[in-house]
Amino acid sequence: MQSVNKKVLKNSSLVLIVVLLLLAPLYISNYLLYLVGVILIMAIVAQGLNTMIGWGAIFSFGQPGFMAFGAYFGAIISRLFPMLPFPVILILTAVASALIGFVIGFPCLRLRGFFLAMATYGFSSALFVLINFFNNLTGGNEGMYVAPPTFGPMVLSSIESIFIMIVIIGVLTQFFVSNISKSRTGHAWRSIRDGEIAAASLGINIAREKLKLFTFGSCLGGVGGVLYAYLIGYLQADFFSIMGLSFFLILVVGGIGTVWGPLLGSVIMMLIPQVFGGLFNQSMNLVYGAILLIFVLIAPNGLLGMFGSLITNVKSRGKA
Amino acid sequence: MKNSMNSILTLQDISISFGGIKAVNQLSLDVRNQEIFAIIGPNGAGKTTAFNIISGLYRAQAGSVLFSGTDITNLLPHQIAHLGMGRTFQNLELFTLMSVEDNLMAARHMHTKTNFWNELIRNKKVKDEEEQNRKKVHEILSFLNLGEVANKKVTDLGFPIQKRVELGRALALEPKLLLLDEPAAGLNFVETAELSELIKSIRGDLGITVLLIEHDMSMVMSISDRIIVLDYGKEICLGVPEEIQNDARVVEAYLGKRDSHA
Repeated sequence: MQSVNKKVLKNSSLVLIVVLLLLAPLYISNYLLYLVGVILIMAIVAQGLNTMIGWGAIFSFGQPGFMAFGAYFGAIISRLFPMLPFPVILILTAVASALIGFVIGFPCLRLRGFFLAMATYGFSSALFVLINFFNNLTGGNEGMYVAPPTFGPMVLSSIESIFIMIVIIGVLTQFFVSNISKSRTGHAWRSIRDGEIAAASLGINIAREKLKLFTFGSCLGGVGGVLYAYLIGYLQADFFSIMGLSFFLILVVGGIGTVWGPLLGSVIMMLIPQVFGGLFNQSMNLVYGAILLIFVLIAPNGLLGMFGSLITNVKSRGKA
Repeated sequence: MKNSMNSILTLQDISISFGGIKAVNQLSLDVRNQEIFAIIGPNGAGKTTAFNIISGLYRAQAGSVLFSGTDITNLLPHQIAHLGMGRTFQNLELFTLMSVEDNLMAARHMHTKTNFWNELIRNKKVKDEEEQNRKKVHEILSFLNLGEVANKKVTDLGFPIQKRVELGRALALEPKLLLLDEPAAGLNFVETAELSELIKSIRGDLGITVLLIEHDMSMVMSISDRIIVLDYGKEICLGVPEEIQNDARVVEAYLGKRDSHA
């Protein structure tokens, strides 16, 4: 009975949070909407990296690249085909990002650890160069403006409508990832992280599952990218190239391999500049560096990992 | 040829060498259906290497391996698992960050038919199948007396329990043939006796053929139908336990040649 009550409590509090988020445009300022929007987008992209590292031990530096790809792909097709409604652009971007993930993953996933990290870093770097090179499509160094999303005859140019779309996609991401984590695929991915030889001996096709995982994570990167493009309305390759380690930071703080870690990490990492002032300036890097060091040394499993083990410790003590 | 009709696993002249050392040298053997077959031999005799060839981790440089009528010489480990072969490892290869139940759930992979898209939305089909898998997993856990620890993380368990979890994970594949690499290593006398009963019951009640590597001679002699003795990657002798116990070549392989002056 108790576990049923707990489940009801958990589900209803989740529903409450989602409703509060969806109604947020009614009671918070545009600046806060923008901030929460960025937090949710970072959480979506970090969730992609979270599944790769936390479940498949795939250390990818490709996430800023996939985010940039999604942002520019969405922005370019919405400019070329202004009639396309927003959901179609979103789906096309998701499919294209997944496809690129598949193509990049196919050769890169033969590598492991450091070498995989370097190869995916190479992908991101090459992409930033390409974005600046094709300046007739992307605006190059000068950047490009993003046309506001449309839905039929409606032009969703207000931050409120874009914010609501971000919330919906964020909720869907959490829903999908939490479903996958419980399923056959989730078990297969985590077993690859814990031991490839044993996983293979259980009939799990390592190469295929890793490619599936990389494709999935890349797709989330691209989806986050297109949402980011709509939210800020203007793109430059530099926006993404400076993100470099921030997704790793988010995961280390939130908790790698947990379903809610990326969101928690994003909230904390995006609020810290609000508290300490000045987004992405020199002194902030000092703060980030200190946080990274503290977490890696004291709580390598992130906040969720730390609380998780505290809770289990208390529980098992209660039993004994 | 009654034997070959009955056999589930056949090795024909398999060889493999690492840097000039012949780890397995023209080894042939034939494991019959529902048999408990043991491979013994001194350290470095090539027992685990033979296991790794059978389960596909290594590829034999010569010879062939047949498993229930299929040539598996060139198949990958996951393909061989799909044909119905499960195994355990000498130095436990458990999924250490998962619970006991999840370790076994991972082994239900090939018995689960749902696809990725269904799993994304977690529809009824996915939930039903998961429920069936969970039922099967708990059947196996209670068969192994592991029901109590189902939700524990494997790293919180003692070594003997971890070994039983790994055995459970291999059983969750519902294999036709089970490869056990030193299942009694690190177990005390009582635990070894329990394991012997368990292996007999795996063969008797579940109808699974067991191929095992083991150093505990009393256990090997009491549960095996047939035993092969390896040394330097080669067969020294093959037979029922009584034959092995009385074979001078076996004593020589383990203890060395008797001094001619003595």
